[in-house]
Amino acid sequence: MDEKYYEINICGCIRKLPIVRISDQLNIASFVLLGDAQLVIKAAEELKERIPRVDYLITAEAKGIPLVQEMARILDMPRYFVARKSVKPYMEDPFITEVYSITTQKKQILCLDREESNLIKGKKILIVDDVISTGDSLKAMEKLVDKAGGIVAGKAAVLAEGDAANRKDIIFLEKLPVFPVKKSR
Amino acid sequence: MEYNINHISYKYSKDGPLVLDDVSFSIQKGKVTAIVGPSGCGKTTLVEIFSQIIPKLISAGELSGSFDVPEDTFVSVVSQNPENQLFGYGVEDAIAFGMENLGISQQEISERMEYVLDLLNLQYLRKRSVANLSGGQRQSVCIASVLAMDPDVLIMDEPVSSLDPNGKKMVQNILGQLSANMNTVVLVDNNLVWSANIVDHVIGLLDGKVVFDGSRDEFFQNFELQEKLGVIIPQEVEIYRSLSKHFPDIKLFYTMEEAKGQIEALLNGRRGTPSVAGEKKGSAVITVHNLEKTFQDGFHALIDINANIPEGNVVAILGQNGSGKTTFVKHLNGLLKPTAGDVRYRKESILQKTVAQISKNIILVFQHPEHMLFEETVEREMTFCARMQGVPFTEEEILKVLQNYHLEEEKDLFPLNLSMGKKHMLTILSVLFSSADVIVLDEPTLGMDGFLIKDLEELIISLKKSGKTVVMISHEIPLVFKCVDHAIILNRGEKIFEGDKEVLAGKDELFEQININLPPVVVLSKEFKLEHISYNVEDFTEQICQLAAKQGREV
Amino acid sequence: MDYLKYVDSDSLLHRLDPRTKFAFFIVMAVVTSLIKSGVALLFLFAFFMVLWCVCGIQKYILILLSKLKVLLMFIFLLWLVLGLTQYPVVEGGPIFYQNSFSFAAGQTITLCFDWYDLYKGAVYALRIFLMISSFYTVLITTNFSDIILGLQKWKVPYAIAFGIGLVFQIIPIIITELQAIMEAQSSRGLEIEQCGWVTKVKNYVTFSLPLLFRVISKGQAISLAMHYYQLDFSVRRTAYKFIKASYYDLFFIIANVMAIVVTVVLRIHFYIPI
Repeated sequence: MDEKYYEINICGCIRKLPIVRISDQLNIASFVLLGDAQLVIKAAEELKERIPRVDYLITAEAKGIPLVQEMARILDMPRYFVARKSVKPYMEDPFITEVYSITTQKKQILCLDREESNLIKGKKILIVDDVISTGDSLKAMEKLVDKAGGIVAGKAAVLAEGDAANRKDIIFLEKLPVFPVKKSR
Repeated sequence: MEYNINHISYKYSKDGPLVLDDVSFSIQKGKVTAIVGPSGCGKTTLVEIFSQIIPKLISAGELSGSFDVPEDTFVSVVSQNPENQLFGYGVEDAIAFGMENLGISQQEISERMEYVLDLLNLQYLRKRSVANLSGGQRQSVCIASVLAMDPDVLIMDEPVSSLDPNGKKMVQNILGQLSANMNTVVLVDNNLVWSANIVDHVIGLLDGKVVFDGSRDEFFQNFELQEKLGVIIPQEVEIYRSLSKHFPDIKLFYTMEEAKGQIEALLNGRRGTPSVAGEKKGSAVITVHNLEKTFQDGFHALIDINANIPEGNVVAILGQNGSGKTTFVKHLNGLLKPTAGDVRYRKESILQKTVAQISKNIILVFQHPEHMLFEETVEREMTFCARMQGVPFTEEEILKVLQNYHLEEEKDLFPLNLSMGKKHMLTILSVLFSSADVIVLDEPTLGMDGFLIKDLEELIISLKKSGKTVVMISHEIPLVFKCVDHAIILNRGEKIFEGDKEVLAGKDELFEQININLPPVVVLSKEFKLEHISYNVEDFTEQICQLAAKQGREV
Repeated sequence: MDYLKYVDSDSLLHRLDPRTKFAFFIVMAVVTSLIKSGVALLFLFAFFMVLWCVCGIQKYILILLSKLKVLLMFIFLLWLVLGLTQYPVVEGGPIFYQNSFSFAAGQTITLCFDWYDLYKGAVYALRIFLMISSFYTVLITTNFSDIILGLQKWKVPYAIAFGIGLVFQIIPIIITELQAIMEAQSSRGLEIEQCGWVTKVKNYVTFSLPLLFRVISKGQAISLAMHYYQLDFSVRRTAYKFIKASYYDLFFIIANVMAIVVTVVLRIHFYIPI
């Protein structure tokens, strides 16, 4: 069978995810939340029902941003945070953590501005992302929140990919399988 | 040459009511005669008299009058359910069975076998076993087996009522062959949709009396009578009926081609400007996630299906038989457990629940009402679901529903004695009092005449109005387009379409792929580029009138 | 539930004259009821296995085995338990456990768990299995049209032959009907999965009524159809198909005779009285 797409039904939105090769052994279905207004709205509604009470939401740029925006809107939160992947000129005393992402296959850093870290301090924080796969970037986010003095009250994503689907500590809507490359005959 | 029916009257018992009351007409040799009438009009009794079941097998009744046929006239019958009529394991065995009974020599049996298989184009089936045939093939073999006995009159009793569109087409072709071959055929069927083109003569029966005896064209022009008899007619004729009220000059048509020609003449080249339909989306009450079903024998019935049932919509599941429709809906109420994937009702997986637990939310009404009915009275049957689920109901509510759907008089009857259509109606009505808000109907129109189908249409609309979601499998494509909002099309276990009706109406290639015809109003709406696509005849007529009127002003 | 049905295929067994197959069943029934030698039965079992595999029906035999496992277990244990009170008839062989219990009345019961108990249980279970499976082999490779033809050749009156054929035609229908009724009723809210056995029994009573009506209406439809086809048992029928024995039958019979001879020889050489 020619598996070029993986179809998934996320809270009533059916999406065809293209299957892409990321290494010699592994194919994954590539999920892009950016630009999918309908799915962002549905997923935010659904996640809202499942998350604990928190003070702030945080995500890492870039794919989680629309989701965190929509969630903040429906939760009536005036402010949320986006961890940046490079130090920006406006940051005076940035917090930095390192991440290895399977989707981009690079070492990355995550950073926040001091003004933001001050707000986080002592507050209950929910980490939001589009997909949790290896959990590395999630770990980096947790580190970042910790460092800023916040309390990680929960971790939420639209999809949990591969082994992450078995994790009990994350909130997610659907499982996304990974596709080991079959030896071609 | 013709066979005469002279003043036949019949009662099933001495002091019972007259089932047939002074029935006289004639069956012309070499022609196709259709006997139409609502259920309970005496059609079946007439078949029993023709085939001599009365008085040979059922002798308690009182028969007067006569069926004038020459000595040794042989009448044989093809019934609604071919599975009850095929004796023999293989197709050849089944076809030979009747001839063997007649004591025909082996050589002649072979000759006749070749003849019927050639005539009906069934050679490709001859080595198959009956059990593995599709419904349409089975009915065709059944017709072949009866035809092989060389009957003088061949009676077909609702031969397509249980078939899917492919099967209907197959039997339709066979009927066409018989007509061309000058066989004498009597078609007993209240549904003339599939046979309108072939029938020569129509007899209308109502309450045991002949109320119409004339040619097909005369019958189709007699709107009042069609209505009174509850005959299901082709939508083309319905369009004609409706248009002729506005355009008296229009000529009767039965087929798409004729319809196109006539309307073309009306519009004189004029076309409308179609508007583009947008997709609307309700939230999903049932979501289906990567559903897979592989049966024990390795058959992949459902392959990776993602689908949503939008709340408060009427959703049609379309596809030929064998495409996985019934398997799909059996997953919605937990009768089947998926090989992989998930089904969720309001975001919660139903896989861990029992069928009875799920039925509080999602209820499935089966194709064959006999499997569901088992109470002593119609009234108790109505309340079965409510009692099982502990839902309160009042006597008045029950009575009101029975009244609305014309079952009031049968209230205290034994359900199994109702007509097939009414039995089906009753099983559907019985779910009204359950707590479920998703109602799944598998082939609800089975056995229903025109009256009941209208009731069903109303019922579906009222269910929708009360906020319930209706999922329905149906081969009655015109009905589907009249009342659904959303459709899912399955083909060989795969979902090939999911979307709103407005979008679906534009997908000609899909319908070609599954070999189902779009309803005539939809085809014609597109042909003449009407402003929006019409799904019922009234709307279509209105649009044509407007378009024609516009043209009048411009000229 | 679909394991009692004819399996459509074109194997050696399917091509045989139905009479050969009837004979096969009868002979095997006699052989398995007379022979009680483990070695001989094992050989016969091996012969059957070859037959099944050659005809590609081993899958269905496995299904049969899984349905019969409880029965076979029961037979095995029954003879094993019965054998506990006896010493082996034949000397030698391991004895696993032996003890005597004396009762107050001075009676003693000796329990002796030995190889012979296992042997006996196994032999009885194997015999029953071979008997059932030989019947089953015929059943799943002969369709009811052939059954009717075969019986007629044996001068069984057509009415009886037709009746027997009809039974085989109707059994699968009834099973499907019952399943459909159960599904339909549970769809309407009748709990049939998570309930105690009392409710389960009650449910079957509930199902039996619609099933009865379905069967009656099927019966009526079939009798009408018989009328349509002018079936009259008093009239001499002709037949379209002839069955006649072919080389396959000859081959099959030779193979069987040889197998039975070997079985009997083995029985004579390796007999342990039971």
